[in-house]
Amino acid sequence: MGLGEIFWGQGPTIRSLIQSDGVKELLYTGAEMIGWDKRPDPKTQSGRLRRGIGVARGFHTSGTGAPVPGEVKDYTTVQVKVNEDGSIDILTALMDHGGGTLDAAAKLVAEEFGVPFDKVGISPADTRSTGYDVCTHATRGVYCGAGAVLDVARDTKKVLLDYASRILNAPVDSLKTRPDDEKNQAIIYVVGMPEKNITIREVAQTAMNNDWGTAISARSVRKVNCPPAYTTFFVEVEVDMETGMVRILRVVAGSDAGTVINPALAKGQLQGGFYRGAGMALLEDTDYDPKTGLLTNRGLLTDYKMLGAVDLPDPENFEIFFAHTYEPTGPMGAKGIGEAALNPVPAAVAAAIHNATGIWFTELPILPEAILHAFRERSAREGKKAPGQPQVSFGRIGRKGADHVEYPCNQS
Amino acid sequence: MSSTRVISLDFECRSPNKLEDALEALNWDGAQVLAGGTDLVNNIKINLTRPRRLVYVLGIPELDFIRVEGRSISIGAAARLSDIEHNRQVVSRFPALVEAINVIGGTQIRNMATLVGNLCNASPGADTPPILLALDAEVEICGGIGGAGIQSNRLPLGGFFTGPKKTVLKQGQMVRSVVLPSPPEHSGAAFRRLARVSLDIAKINCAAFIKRDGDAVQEVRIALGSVAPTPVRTPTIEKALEGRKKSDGLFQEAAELVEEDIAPIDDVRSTAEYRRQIASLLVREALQEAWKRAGGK
Amino acid sequence: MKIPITLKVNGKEYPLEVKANEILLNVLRDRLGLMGTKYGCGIGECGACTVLLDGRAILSCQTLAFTADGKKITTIEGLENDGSLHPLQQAFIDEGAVQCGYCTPGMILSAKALLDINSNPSNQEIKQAIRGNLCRCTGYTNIVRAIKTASEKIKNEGRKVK
Repeated sequence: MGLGEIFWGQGPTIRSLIQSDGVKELLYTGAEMIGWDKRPDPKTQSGRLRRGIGVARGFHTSGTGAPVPGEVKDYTTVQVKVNEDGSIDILTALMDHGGGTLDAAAKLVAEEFGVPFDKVGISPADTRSTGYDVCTHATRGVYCGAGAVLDVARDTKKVLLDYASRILNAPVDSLKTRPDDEKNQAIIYVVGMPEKNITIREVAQTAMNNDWGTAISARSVRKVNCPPAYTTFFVEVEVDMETGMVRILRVVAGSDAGTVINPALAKGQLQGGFYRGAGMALLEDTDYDPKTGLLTNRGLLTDYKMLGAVDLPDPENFEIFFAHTYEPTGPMGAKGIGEAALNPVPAAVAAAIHNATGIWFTELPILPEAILHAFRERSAREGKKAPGQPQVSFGRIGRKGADHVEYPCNQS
Repeated sequence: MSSTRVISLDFECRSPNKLEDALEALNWDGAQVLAGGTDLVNNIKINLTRPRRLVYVLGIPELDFIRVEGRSISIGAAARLSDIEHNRQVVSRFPALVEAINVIGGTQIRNMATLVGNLCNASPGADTPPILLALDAEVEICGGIGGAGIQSNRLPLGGFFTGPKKTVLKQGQMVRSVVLPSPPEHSGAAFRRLARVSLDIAKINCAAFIKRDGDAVQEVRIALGSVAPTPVRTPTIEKALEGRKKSDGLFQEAAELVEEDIAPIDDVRSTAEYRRQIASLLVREALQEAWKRAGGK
Repeated sequence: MKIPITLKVNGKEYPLEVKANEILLNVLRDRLGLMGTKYGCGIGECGACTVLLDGRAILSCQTLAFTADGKKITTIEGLENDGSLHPLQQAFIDEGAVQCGYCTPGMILSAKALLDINSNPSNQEIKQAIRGNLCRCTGYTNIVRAIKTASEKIKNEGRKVK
């Protein structure tokens, strides 16, 4: 599934035509960075500590936009206004959990107008003043949410340019904006006649003085695409064959998020997504007691364990890169990243464990108990099986009466 | 009603600054000792215990000590884990105890919790009992009311635990200190544990102490946690090793006898099968390290 | 049973009456209005409630308020210096170590307790120092980096940490 194909995002109406695809770049670049060619052969692994490298590619829709409105609501309502001092305010119910959604919105507006970043404000939001926004989920924060902010900002810009055209006495279509570092302002100028220019502050002031109005615009925006954001994770693990404990040594994470608007925070998504995916692969589970229906961990963190800082690699061993792609339907080329940063990780970890041990685990979490059990079973039967034929472990250790089915795998 | 946000249970508290006042306050049905609170406060929150009076003992200066007393080190009830693990006398004499303390919780918990509290909580999987059992520790139990003065008697740690979360302590008693004999020459001790993640209660832990006589095992003590209702010694393995000359497969062979002395169960942290397999591994590793620290080859 | 105590928080003294079962975290937040310290799990497993007590990192959700009587408490609010952020706070922002921000106050205080006694920590030492602080957003990578950066900044400036 790649460029030019229809991507079935989330259900029958949420679809998109794939117009940007950096998967090839992600896989080739990542493979070189992790040393894919030097990965061991599981058939010849020996010793107590065994290392392995695994890879997985995943994706997620950027939001739930769709060509035709369907059962999933996805729109954001925004108001953008230009103040008389040349600053710009964005009013929206769009929320930022810490992934940089509102940062991106402000950056897009600053870029669009040429205004310094610190002159773009996010107004406090409350339901008496904002229109509806679905919420920040479904990896829609930047693509749909900040994308809506950009769309409305462009509406506001048209109003501003109309005022500027009256002042400069030039048609609207001949006007452009640019940043001016000296004046620390945005400038509107006539293309081909740059000496005919004016700051947006002067335009806004003049519009007020002449009784024309404020450069302002507000509407709801629904995106009609949900382009897939791709991620690839290469993971190197070390498995202790006597305890079944898995240590994560190195990670190379790559993402195709189109234009990366917040590089530091986009990297943060990949780091966080890896940590949660690895936890999902190795540890985390909500097990229910079949008799009482209660969680066996009593809903307490005492027994819902997550990987800690000590259990994860050092910053130097976590490398991140972005593919060079541009999504034509996205705000200045951007797509999302959030959930895509998690999706392939459990598979990558399972693949790495297979590379180290020769055992494919298909049930999560892959506990040390399961690894040890599977390894001992295989060792006990080594003579009867063709050497190196991997087995699939289909049992959940700890659950009474679990199936333990094995069958040979075609791929190794 | 249990809530981790607020404590709805009403109780009174006492903050004595003398041990005899603490014992007086403890001699009351429903009174419990409050030290670091890292176990007790949780237990109150999730309704596991309902004390009616808390006697706060960390404000008692005479209990806050780590001192050398003749050929032993004595650690008081108010000594925090982080103080103990950084104490120079403890570090030089009992590196394995330091290692055991270091795996407990995170920095915050070790700054609040006490070694004596860890013992009195008597969790079968606690990290300090195995090494203290291997080091032949004793607890000093105090009681006493009225004009009779403080009565105290020493009890080997092995006789202190009676079941999961249960000890021999009666109402009106508390532990004043833990006493560790200084390790003799040509001896070494080691600690091992496995958990799910770095911030966790042990799935299984193990400690070993060896006193060497040349290249023979003169004395050996091994203890494990999380494999029985209380932390346990391994008499079968110890008997098999006493007096034996160290050879290449000796510890491995002896470690495989561990099944005789343990009775692990399936629980939310691990399975009985896994614990049985790991027990012999940990015993072997602890013995090898203890032998090395005893100067053996 | 009401117990009169005095809490010394961020250099200010607060005389109060507390019940025996009042938790320090709740007193800081609900009675003193210091909302920086967070309630995460309530059972001492996440570290979001971390404050410094006499310079040592502790968990305020497991501390009964009356036991903190007379002790010196530092919350995250106490780190800024005359309106300028502590190097740790600034480093967390600069290195992208703050996403939702919920673990951040506890994380920074644990880091401060580390840097107060170890001005040149290794990655391992940093990770061990924050072992009792959970973060669900960042995967810890940038947090470790931020603490490293802050330690270098503090050393270069020759600043004595408060």
